[in-house]
Amino acid sequence: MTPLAPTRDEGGAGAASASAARPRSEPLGTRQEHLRSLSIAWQLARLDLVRRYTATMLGLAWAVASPLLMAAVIGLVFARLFGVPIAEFLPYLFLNLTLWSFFVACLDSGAIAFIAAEGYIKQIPRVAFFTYPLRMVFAAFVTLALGLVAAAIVSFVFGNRPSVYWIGILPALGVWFLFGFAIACISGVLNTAVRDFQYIQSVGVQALFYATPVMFPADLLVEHGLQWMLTYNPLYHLMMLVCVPLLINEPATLPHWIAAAITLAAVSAFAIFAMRVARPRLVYWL
Amino acid sequence: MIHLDGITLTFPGKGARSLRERISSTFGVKTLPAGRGEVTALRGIDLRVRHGEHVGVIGLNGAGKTTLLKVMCGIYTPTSGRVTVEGDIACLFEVATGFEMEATGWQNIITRGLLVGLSRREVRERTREIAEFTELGDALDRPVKTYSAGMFLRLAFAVSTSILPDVLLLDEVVAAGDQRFHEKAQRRLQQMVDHASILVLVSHSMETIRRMCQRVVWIEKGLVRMDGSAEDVIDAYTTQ
Repeated sequence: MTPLAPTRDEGGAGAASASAARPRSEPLGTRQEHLRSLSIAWQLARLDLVRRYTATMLGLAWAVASPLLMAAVIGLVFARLFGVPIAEFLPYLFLNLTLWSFFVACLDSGAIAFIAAEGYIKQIPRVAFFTYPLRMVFAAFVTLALGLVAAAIVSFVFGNRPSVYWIGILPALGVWFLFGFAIACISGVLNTAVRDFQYIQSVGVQALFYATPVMFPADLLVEHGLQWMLTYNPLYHLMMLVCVPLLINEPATLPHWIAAAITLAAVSAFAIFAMRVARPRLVYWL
Repeated sequence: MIHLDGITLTFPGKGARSLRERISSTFGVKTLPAGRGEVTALRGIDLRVRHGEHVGVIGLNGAGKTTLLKVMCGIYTPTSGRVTVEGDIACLFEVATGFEMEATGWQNIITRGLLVGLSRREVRERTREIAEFTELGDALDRPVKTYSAGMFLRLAFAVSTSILPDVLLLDEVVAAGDQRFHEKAQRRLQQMVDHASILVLVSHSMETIRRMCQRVVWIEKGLVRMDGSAEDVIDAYTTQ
């Protein structure tokens, strides 16, 4: 047997006093835990992705094909219904569905993040709890990234040409990632504490889906005097951050960014609060 | 060093799981009679384990031995009391949980390696050695959902024992598997024990405790009933 070298480089710094591995000053874990957690979350997400995309014949292509097919079917009907040119409506619909899928994936997989990790949480100490929702968000984000590439191609096919404003998509994706991470943590904590939450959540998401201009043009709400449904819908603003630069070749306007920033700040604050409350209790909820 | 000061741990009961109780308790209102379904596993444990000590923990089933171990390594946060642990800590349990069922044995070695505290580089360096130790061969290419209980044990054991922590907590882990593997595992575990400055071993085998520990703590109903030299405590425990 090869001799075993001491583990954990940080062990040398040694003797870090840990109050049950949860020092009071850092209720969400130590810095080392955080860095390690990124690596663990990414490893777990990779397993999820590999599993998801090697189980089927088309594999990774499904990540793109399934929203594309859906967009094609809905697009053909709705473009006529709303009297919008298909060349304009299809890329819009496809992009919206891709973003919406990410939102739903974060909530749904976030809800079971801790429950699915019960075996780890109950036996392996010193892994920050956010690792488990982060795992889910990493996997969903890779799918989102693929969808966006496809959306860009669809947009291109229908005559939209890349412009410098597409760069604005990158910070927007950063916002989406953090937003997804925050809601996955919240959903995970709430659903682990009260298992009924998952069902309440899915009803809420359904309702939000019909209230958000995902499958219909946003103008339709304005025409019917429902401007407020856009103004107060955080999802709408978040989606515009990506839609505007990609489809209209303009930078997303300041109000959208402000609304997105407020949304992100609010959900992040709530997520941090939820994780702090959950940290000493979560293991007993499982 | 491990310091436990007045550790009390009460598991929330089933009643606390309901939506109604959770909402009302958030606002400080108890709608359920106090204590329904609650279990107090530890009732004010004080314990100091210094460097170089090998401590055995004995007691009947349900006495709170495993709970105590989980408090030491930070998996359970006590209801009240203070836990202070210095140094890297690792705990091994008799039955390991937490596998990616659809993933292969190889992938599980990597994942578990990261989880128990190895860096990516260390995992890469040690994967082969860990795999060899498991003797699972081609089975490592299969999803672990096809594994038998014994195979899971080997996999988890091989990964968990590939690190050398300062503080080692063992729960009924003496060695795993069949006779031949048992001897091999025993040696590997001994290496880990030799390196660790503190060992806390929970076991029902007095023979094992006698062999590995100089000091023994007898836990009964969540309290320390007796704490002293291995001989004295084991004598008292077996003749009670």
